[in-house]
Amino acid sequence: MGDPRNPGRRGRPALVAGLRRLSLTARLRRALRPPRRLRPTRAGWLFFALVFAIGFAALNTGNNLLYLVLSLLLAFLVLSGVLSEAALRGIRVERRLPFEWAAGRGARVVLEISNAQRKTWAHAIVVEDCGHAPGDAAERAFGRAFALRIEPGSTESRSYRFEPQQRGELRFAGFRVLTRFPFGLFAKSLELPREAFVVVYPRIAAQRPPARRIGDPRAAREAAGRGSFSTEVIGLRDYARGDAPRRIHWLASWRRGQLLVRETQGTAGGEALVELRTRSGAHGDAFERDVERAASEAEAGLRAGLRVALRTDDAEFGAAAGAVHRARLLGYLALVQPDPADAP
Amino acid sequence: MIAATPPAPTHPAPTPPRPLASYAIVLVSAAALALTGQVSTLALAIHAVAVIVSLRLRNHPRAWQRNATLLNAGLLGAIGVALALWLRGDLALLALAHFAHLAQALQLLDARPRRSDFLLVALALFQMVLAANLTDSLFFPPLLLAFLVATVWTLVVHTLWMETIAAGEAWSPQRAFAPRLMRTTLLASAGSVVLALVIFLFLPRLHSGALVSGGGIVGAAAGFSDRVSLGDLGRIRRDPTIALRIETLRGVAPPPEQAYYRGLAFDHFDGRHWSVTPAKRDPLAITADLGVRVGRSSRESDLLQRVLREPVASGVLFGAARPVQIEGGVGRVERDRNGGLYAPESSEDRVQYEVESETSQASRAELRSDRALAPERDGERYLAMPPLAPELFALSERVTSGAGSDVERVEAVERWLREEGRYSDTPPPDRADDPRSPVERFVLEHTEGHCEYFASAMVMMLRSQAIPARLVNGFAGGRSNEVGDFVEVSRADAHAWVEVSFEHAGWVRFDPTPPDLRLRTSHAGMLAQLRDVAGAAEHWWFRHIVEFDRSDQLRALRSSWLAWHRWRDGQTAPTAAAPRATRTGWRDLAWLQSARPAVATLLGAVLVAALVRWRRRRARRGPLPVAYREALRLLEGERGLVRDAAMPAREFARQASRAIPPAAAAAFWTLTEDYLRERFGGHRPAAPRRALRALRDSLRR
Repeated sequence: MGDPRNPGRRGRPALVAGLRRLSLTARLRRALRPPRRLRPTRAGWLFFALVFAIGFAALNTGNNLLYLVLSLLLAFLVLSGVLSEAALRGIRVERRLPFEWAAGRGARVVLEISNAQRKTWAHAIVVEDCGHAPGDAAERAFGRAFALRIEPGSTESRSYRFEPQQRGELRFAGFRVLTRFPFGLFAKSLELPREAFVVVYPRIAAQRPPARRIGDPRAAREAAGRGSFSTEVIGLRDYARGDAPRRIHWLASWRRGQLLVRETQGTAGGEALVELRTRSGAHGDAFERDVERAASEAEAGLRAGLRVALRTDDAEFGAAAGAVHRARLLGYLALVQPDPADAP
Repeated sequence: MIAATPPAPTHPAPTPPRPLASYAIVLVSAAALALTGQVSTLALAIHAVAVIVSLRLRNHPRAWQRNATLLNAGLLGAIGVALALWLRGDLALLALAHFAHLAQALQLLDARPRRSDFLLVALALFQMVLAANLTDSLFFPPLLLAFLVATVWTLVVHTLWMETIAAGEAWSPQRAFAPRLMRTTLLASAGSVVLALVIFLFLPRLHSGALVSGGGIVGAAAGFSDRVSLGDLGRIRRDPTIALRIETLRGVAPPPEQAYYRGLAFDHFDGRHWSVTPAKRDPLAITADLGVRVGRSSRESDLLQRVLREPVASGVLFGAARPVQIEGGVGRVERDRNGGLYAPESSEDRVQYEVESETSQASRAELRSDRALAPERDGERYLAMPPLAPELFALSERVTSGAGSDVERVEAVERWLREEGRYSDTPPPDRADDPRSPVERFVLEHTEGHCEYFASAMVMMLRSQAIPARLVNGFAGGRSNEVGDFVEVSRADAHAWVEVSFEHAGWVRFDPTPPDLRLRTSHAGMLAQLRDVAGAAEHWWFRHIVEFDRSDQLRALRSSWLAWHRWRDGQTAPTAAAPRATRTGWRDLAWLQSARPAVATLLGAVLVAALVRWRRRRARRGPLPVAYREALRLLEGERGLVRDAAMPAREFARQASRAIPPAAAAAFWTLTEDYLRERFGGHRPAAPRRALRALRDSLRR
């Protein structure tokens, strides 16, 4: 994750969860939160009305057969609670997030729903993945997954597609696991906190590489598309994520036992500078358009094999190439905000 | 393989055919209503046709089954039928039963897309409730049980179906019906029954009468009101319906030929009708839930019986010999001037009560030295006679001429009637143009008659000799049910006898009817045994379910309370304060007390075994070894540190070490390495408990 306050700090691209420390209030909230939530369905309300009516009739008449029917209905209620609890109790959910996320581009989130119980089957499990989307104050479900049944001790994988609309930090709060099993009278749910933070890159549009170049003009010209790249290999380097597979030198990789990619003259020589004004006074949509333009330029430059530098009014990234550098740039651009001092 | 959750469907998914369990629900609820015998044959036939058509077209419904106009018209028709029945004067319950029955038939035929089958289930439940109001048959519980299983299955299947459709997935019964789903259903049903019985026991009974549905069940037995006509009892005796079920809880029950269950005593006879004078009754208690004293006898009761009484006109309460105390959910209790007991609120109900009686009777030797004497208060009414033929007086004089004492005169009349009377349950009808009383004809013309004629004749003959006597009606005899250990007394056992007042002995029973003629013959063999089993099951059903009332709840509480006190105080012998506890199963806890150490050891062993088993099962559960999982739980609980599933164990340990004390970090490192060795190398850790304890101590310090 690129940290806008510390641009040079290296982090995992897109996602870092792992170790976290719950605040005292969060722990208190978690301790006080009811372990289960119960919401009657429409059929459940009808059932309640029936129970009430039969209960009234039984009390009024003293008819023991009505008492018996009433007892059965009440037993049904209890049993519904027990069975739904049995279905939910062993449910564990893990989330597998996509490698990277950009605004306007959907990606699939994989949910691994497992039933940790030894004997009890879990039926009709609905998992909602909840959190805060960038720019969204209210918590909402990003997507839901359904498992009709999960055998004891097994795991079912489901996925849902989510398309963030804005760049920024996508915060996953946890899962709401819900079931209407066994009788459909109640929707019982529990919350499984599983926080994760994802940086959503700015929207990236198809664009030519940036016009402002530094370094060898010939390479820059070639990189800008006015000529073809030089195919002269000037060396090999370790493979990094994002490198095109066609650049992999398979023979050398086989000899070394690790992936190596070719460095051509064009990729080594050309540099481009992407600029973003954070103190220009642009805010709101205008600033977002600037950020998207910068991200698109950086992406295009890197794809073209250029070494791309980024300069803003607050920070500067030196020219570099490769997947890690790309993650640093896009991560920074995902979180950068205009200087509040220039707000209109 | 990862299954992608598709987006929510934009158009409704095709509705699957109704599960067969739905038809089971429908059939069971319809059978319950049919069991009441009060739903018309036409409605039952329409329902049956609807079931057959719906089953045949289950997979390929016709267009008319989706025609809303047609179906709504059918619904209006069902409403119309119900309204017509109600306006005709039928019970509202019956009108509702017809509506529910027809509406369910319509619902079965309805093949329009539906959200669920809950409406069908609700209609079936409604029918069961109506049936519960209209019948108390022994066949109701098995139907209720079948209804329960079918309902559980239907609701489970429909919940799975609805959830699958809501998730936008294709419904596949093969995928949904896991092998254990049926087992889950059966277990759930069994659990429901057990739980329902427990709830049933503890639900508060706020209504004083136990059953008001009796009005539609069986008719109350006439002939037991405070004014009866000669011949009423004969009509009752032709009816084999069970009238009383009697269990003896304490004391020795008399054999059937000597068993008399007293109802009402009559003092006034006008030649054709017996009545109680004055008609005024004394209220004894507004409720008998906790027992009410009903007898004036100063002697201790020696017989305790539990009586399950069917509806009886005037709500007469029956008891053996001289009832002393009554306890049960019978509502208000009243007593007339002749000692007859009434629970007027229960005349239309089946009720259950316990009656304590005093059965001792003066011996013949004692009676010989006694003399017949009317009670001091209003005693002359036991000597009053209607204008009867002088021949009857003369006959009485002649019959009693050789007797030396009053009791001998009484016995002479009794003997004469037994020998000369002609018994018949169908005596010749009373002719309106004949001014003579049927009793006169019975005695003087030797016509036929049943017990009421014998008893009436004896009372008149005794009164003609200035011996105070009264006629008593009730039941006598009965049939012992060996399976249920109780006595079944039917209406055919209705009987009338005589009580004569003595100065010291009080009212003494005499019976002029030949016992071999009034008693029913008992059958033996397989059929009789089967009948006993059915009778015992029915008795159990009435006793423990249908008639379980507030009084039973209070009694159970009291028994438990007394048993608890006895247990705590270490008493071994029943005390006078706790007679009920001794007879309701808590007979003697001495064996339990002497075996206390053994029982405690056994319980402890069971507990330890259960604990060990539980820990082993817990240890096997989940992919993580126990110690490591416990360590993660400690870190989360004590410090809020949570390991992401994607994070390697050592990386987590490294990061966690920065946030916890060094001792805890060292312990956690050990546990992590143990975990890795166990998980990937198959080595069992040497002493994970020690490291876990160190981690816990350090974190909590």
